[in-house]
Amino acid sequence: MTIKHKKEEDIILSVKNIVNHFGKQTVHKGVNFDVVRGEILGIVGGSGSGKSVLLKTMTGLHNPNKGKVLIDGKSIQDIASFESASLLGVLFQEGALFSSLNVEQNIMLPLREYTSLKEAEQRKLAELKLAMVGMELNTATKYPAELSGGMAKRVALARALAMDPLILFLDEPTAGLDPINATGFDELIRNLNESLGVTIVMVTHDLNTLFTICDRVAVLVDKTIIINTIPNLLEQDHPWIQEFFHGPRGQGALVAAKHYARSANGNR
Amino acid sequence: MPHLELCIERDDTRIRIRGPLDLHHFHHAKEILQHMHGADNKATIIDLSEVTRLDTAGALLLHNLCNATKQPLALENFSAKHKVLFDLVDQINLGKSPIKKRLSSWIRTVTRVGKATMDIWPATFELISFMGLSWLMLIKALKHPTRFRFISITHQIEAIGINAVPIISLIALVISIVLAYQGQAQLKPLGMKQYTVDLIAISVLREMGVLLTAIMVAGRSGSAFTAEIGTMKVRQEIDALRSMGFDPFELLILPRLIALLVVLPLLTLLADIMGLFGGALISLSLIDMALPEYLERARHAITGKDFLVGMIKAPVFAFVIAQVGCMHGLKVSGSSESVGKETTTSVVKSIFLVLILDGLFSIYFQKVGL
Repeated sequence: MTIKHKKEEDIILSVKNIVNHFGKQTVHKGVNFDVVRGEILGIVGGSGSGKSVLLKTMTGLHNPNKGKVLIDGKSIQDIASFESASLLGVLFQEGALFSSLNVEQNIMLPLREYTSLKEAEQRKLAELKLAMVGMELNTATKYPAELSGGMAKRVALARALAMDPLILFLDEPTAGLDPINATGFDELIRNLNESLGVTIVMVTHDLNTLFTICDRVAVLVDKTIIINTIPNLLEQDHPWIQEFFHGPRGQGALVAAKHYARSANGNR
Repeated sequence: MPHLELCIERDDTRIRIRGPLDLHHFHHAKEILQHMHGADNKATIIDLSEVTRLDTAGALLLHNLCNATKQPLALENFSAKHKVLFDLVDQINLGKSPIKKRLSSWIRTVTRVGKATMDIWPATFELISFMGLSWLMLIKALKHPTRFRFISITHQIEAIGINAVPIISLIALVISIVLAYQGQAQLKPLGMKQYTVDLIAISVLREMGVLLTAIMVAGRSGSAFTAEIGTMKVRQEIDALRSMGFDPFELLILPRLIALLVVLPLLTLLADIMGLFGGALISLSLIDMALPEYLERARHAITGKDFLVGMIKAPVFAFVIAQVGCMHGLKVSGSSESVGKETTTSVVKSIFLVLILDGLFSIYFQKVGL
C-alpha cells in the first residue's frame, strides 16, 4: 500500500472539516482526513469521543453541523438512493438484518430493488456473496433469529457487499465474537479487501484487528483526528495515544501481531 | 452510472470487452455476449485487457461463459487485480440451490387451512393449562399475602383502570345515545315511546356495559400486556429475572391479573352509569321525559338481577383477557416480528373468547331464570 502518493483520483473518501455539536456539547471540531482507494482504515477513540457520530456522518445517516463528506468525489448528501448501495455498504454492530426476511432475501433486497436482474441471477449472486463470507449454502433459507451472533455478522457483511460497493464501513466488526471467530473475521475482511479491492473503514476497539489488518489508524482525540500508520502512531507523544498503544492490552496485541506476521510469512 | 461506457466488440474469434463489467452493465453485457457467442460458435477467446472495473456480478458472468457446456470460452489478458476476484468466484462451487419448489397455490391454501385447524387443539390445551397454573399461583400467593406486589398492582390499576376512565365513559355514552335514538325512532310511531327507557336500561345493564368495557380493555390493556411481556422476553429480561431467582409469573403476571380483576368490574359500573346517563339525555331531548320521570321508569324496568347479570360477567372477562394477554407475551420468541404477531393474536383471541363467553352466559341465565 503506497499511502504517500495521494493523487486526487486515488482518494475514495474525503472528510472535510466536519463539525458536530449536540446542544452545547461539541463532539467534533473540524475533522479532516482522506481515505485512499483499497486501504483498510481503523478508527479508534475513547468512549464518548464521537466514533459512532463520525461513522453516521460518513455514511450519510447524520447531517453534520458544518463540513462535508465526499465519496468517490460526490457529496454524501447528494448521492441518489439507487447509487448509494453501489457506492457504500455498512455493517452495523448487531448486524441489523431484517428479521422478517430470510438470509437470502436479506442479501437480495438491494439487488431486487436497484437492478434488472432476473430472480435466478439475483439468487446466484446472493449465494456467491454468502460463500464469499464463508457461510454454508444451507443457511440461505434460515431467518436471522435462527443465526448465532457470528453468523449474523457474516450474513450482514454479505448484505453490505450485495451491490459490490466501493467502500465498506464496519462498526465494531469483531465485538461479541469469540477469539477464533474474531480472527477468522479479520482474515475475511483482509481477503475481501484484497480480492474485491473494496476500501474498508472500520470503527474498532479490537487491538488485534488494528495491528494485524489495518493499513492506517485514525485516532479521535481532543474532538479532532490524528491519522497515521501504526509505527508512526507508536511514536506520538499524545497521552491518550500513548496509553492506548502502550498499555498492557496494546503491548500484548503488538507482540501477538508480530508473532502472527512471522508465522504467516514462515508458512508462505 | 457516470462510468465509461461498456463496449463489446467481436473480431472473428476474439471478443474484446472495454469499460466496466459490473452489476450495472450485467444485463447488457450478458445479452451481447450470449448473442455473439451463440450466433455461429466461432468465438473462442475473450480479451479482458481493457476492462476498467470487474465486480462479483461480472466475474460470475465470465465464470458462466468459461463453463458453458457448449463451446466454452477462454479468457485472456486479465489484470492481476481482476484475476484474483475471478479466481475467487471461479473456486466457489455453488452447486444446487437449497430452494424448495413452491407448491401450487390451491395446495398451499388447503395446507394452511389444515394446519390452522390442527392448531386449535394445542392452543386450547395451552390456554387451559396456563389458566390452571394461574389459579395455582393465585392460591399460593393468597397463602402468603406478602408475596403480592402491592406497588406493582397499584401501578397496573392506574394504567388499566384510571387512565381508561375517559375513553370508556365516552364510548358507553355514545353507544347508549345511538341505541336510544334508534329505539325511540322505532317505538314512537307505535305510541310506546316510554319503552325506550326499558330498552336502554335493560340492554346497558345486562349486556352493553360489560361487553363494551371488556372489548375496550382487551384492545387497550390485553395488547399492552402481550407487548410489554413480549419485549421483555426479546430483551432477555425474563431470563434475567429467572437467573436472579424471581418467578416471572409472580412478578409480572399476577399483578396484572389482580389489577384487571379489580378494575374491570369498576369500569363496568362506570359504563353502566354513563349508559343510563346517555339514555337520559335522549329521553330529555326527544321523548319529552324529565329526569325524575326517567329515573322512576327505569327503576320499574330493571331489577337488581339485571345489574347483577352484567356485573357477574366482569371478573370472568377480566380473567380471560389477562390470561390471554400474558400467555401470548410469554410465547414471544426471538424477533421483533414475533411481538407484533403475538399481540395481534392475543387481542383477536381475547375479544373472541369474551363474545363466546357472553353468549354462553346468556343461555345459562335464560335457563336459570335470571
